[in-house]
Amino acid sequence: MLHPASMRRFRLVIALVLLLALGFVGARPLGPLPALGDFLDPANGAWALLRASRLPSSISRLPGLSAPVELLLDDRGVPHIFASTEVDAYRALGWIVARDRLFQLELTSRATAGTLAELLGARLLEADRATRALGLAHAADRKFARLDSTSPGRRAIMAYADGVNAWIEGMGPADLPVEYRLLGKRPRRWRPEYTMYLFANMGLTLAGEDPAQPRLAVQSLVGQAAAEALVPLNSPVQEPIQPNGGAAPRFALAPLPPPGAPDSEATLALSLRRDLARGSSAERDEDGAGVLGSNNWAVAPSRTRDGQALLAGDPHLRLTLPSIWYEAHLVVPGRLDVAGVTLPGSPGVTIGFNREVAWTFTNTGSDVLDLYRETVDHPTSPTRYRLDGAWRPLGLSVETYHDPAGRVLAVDTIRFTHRGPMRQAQGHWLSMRWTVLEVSREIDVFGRAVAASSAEDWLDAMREYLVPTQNGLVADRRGTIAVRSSGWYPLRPGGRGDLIFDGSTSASDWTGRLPVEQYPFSIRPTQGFLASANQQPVDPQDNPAYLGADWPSPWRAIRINTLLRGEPRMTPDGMRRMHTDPESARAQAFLPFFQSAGGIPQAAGQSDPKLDRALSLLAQWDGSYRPDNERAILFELAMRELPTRLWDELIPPDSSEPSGRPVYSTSQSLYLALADPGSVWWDDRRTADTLETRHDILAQSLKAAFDTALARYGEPDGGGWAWAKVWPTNIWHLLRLPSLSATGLAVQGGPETIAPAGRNGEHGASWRMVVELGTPVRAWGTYPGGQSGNPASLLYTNRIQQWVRGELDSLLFPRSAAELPDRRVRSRVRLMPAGGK
Amino acid sequence: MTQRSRRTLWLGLSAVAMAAGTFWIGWWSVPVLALFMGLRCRSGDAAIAALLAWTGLLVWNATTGPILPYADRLGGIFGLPGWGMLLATPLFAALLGWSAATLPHSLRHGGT
Repeated sequence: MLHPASMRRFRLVIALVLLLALGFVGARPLGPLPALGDFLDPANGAWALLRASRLPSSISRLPGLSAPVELLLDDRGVPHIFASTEVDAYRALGWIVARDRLFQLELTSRATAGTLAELLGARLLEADRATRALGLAHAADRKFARLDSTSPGRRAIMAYADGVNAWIEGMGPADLPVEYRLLGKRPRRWRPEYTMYLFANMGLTLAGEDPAQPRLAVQSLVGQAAAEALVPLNSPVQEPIQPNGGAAPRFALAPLPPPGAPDSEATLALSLRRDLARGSSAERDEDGAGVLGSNNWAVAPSRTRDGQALLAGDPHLRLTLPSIWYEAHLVVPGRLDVAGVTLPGSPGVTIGFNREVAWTFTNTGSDVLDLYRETVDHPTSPTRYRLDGAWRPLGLSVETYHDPAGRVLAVDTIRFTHRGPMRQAQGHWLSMRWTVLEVSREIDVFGRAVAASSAEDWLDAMREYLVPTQNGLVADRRGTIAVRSSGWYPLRPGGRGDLIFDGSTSASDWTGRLPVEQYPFSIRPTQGFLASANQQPVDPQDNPAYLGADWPSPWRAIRINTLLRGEPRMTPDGMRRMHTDPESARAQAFLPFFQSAGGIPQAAGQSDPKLDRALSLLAQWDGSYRPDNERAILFELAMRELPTRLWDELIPPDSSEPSGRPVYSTSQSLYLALADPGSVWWDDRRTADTLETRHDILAQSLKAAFDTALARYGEPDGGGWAWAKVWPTNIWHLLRLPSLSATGLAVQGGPETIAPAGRNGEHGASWRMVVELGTPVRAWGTYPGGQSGNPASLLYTNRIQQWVRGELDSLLFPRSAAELPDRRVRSRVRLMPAGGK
Repeated sequence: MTQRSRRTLWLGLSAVAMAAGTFWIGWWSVPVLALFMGLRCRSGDAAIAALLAWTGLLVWNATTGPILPYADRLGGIFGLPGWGMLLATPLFAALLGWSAATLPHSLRHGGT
């Protein structure tokens, strides 16, 4: 037993140590932990975000306004902004977006600027270097500087930035987003240029494709002839956006030439392109297939139940929390009345509708990136490059990278020719010309398009649209529907852009742009509907102009068109149901081949119990990808096994590809082979003593798929094969914090369905919208997430389950503040000019 | 007024002071106020006052938003269950209050 005095001393020591320890962890971050005092503080720390999640009805000052602005938040968290001028509306939009999405704004702008390491740490250094080497931020700065100071776009950007900064300056301690609290950072001021960074970032996502890489990857292993056939310029299955007059897909299936000898030139060209375009490649899944699969379609009044045009759209992108989109409604009497989704950081509605017109986009995915082999004056530190026999100075930019503490992590010098950024790859210097880096004025174009009064008016505004190329679909209240694949299609010497050009001569440079009149286009089609799903936009028999290569498979477009052809009295709800349609044209095309795989052994009197069982299970599949379906996974695993057996020639001998996968395989190339049962490609050259046939490879693939399914998911009827369990969708928080993410979502749809689901489950319909162009215009929509980026808010994930179920909200579209029902109003904020009453 | 009533009143006032201090000044007002409390009362009282202050603030937050799902999200960041996060917050304040109040209390009662 301790003496009382000793006890007191002991208590004193314990208290002192504890106080110092708590004071330390309270005031300073420790490893990944934030400073706990500030974080746990229930008055102003992370808990306070519960209070910040509500925007009480109030009067707030917003400097720069020319007149008061009414901002009403509806019960879905959507701001309805009623302003006297467009500039005031955009100022208010910047203010409310900053309130809801402040961290997202900063992260997106930093991703483009290549300054993520300053916020998130040195582990992002290589990503920053790759980004800066593309010159995105330089190009965005240049674009902003070229905007006329009186242009509506520039004024909108400036006003939006003022709104964002007014929020930052006026926000209280409780409003600081949780991400900043975790990182121990404060938000930085929003520069107007960051809006252009956002566009550049979108360009990187949507126009970063280098169509030459797949072909070169194949060519390096099996020669040019086979590569040209396997990665053709034109889709072998034609279901184009611009209707070609056919009532069914046109199959242009030619026999595949046999594999040729490896091509070492192609190997070099491939590695050059990979090095140079590092950081710019579009998003692909583990099999190399594109994962961004957007759709849109419109139906003319002649084919709708109520005699009004209908339009639907669902752009597919990487899904994040918060969402890439933010819903808003802007009203300026007599000037603007538009609702839809905006990109946080951008003033204006990107996809939406006004009182007359609705519009939406899918990505065209054309070839807009070219490479040039340059001649320089020094092998490692050039300052000049040769053009038309003369030396020209290189543009130089010294890039310094910092960590969160401000310490210098690295310093790079980025060089520029007149074409764009130049990089060294394997001893060669190559420059890049890319439309994303060119001066363009999308902000002004969108500003005009949102105020269009007819489909023709909208198309006219979009004539100036350049980057990234988009399949813009529009419908109006007069019943016009139209689609045009708009954007900058470079004209090159020789036509094709999937080669490396000689940089020493200006004769290699782009000679212009494809004129608007030659864009893929259709208006008021006789078929009464239009659709796009990233497929080749025009049938080469109608227009042979080179727009790109390696086009996505058209299975989604085939399914959409099949549904539209089959419904002469379409309704808004029918359009909604199509968004999550579980059927697959791809499955319908491939399933018969697998089902025929049992034919040969049985005919020969051989019995293969495993194959028989797999076939029996496959026969039970209805070809749909409903969440509870327990057979789709067998088909998908077989589709994954097939390329590794069929394309053995495309597996590099020193395979750096994961798990010995071929360097290239798409469902279109598989279909080409399946349509040619006598092709030599069916023989697996790894089995020297056996000559495999199409049946053998299909049977092997199916049996291997069955083995895999049993090993991974148990017995077929044990519940483990349910589609939703084996192929879930995951929506990750921007910092990939699991508890702030929504993962394991049971969505309906699979590969190449209208709601395509990539293997990583991280992509999907980022916004779904249906608009009926009647009187009045009615619209429905949702996206997976919620309006608020604050995880303490009810509006953080409130739309996810609705999105999973394929349901849509009716979108409020009041003409005035008074027209919005009180019961639907969450808060009313009157934004007053500074100094106003 | 009984001693018990006086103590309750004192605890209540101290808790209000700590809540106000947290709101207006910051989390570190809890140990500062506890240091002063340690001159007059038991260190356990300072801990209880801090616990009450931060629990009260948590309850205030809970009236404005969905605290349980949010606690799950916050706790998940640190590998804690939501209730662990809810518990850790007032506990942090209580430990701050106790340790800070113990110093003057022990010194005053001949702790060295």
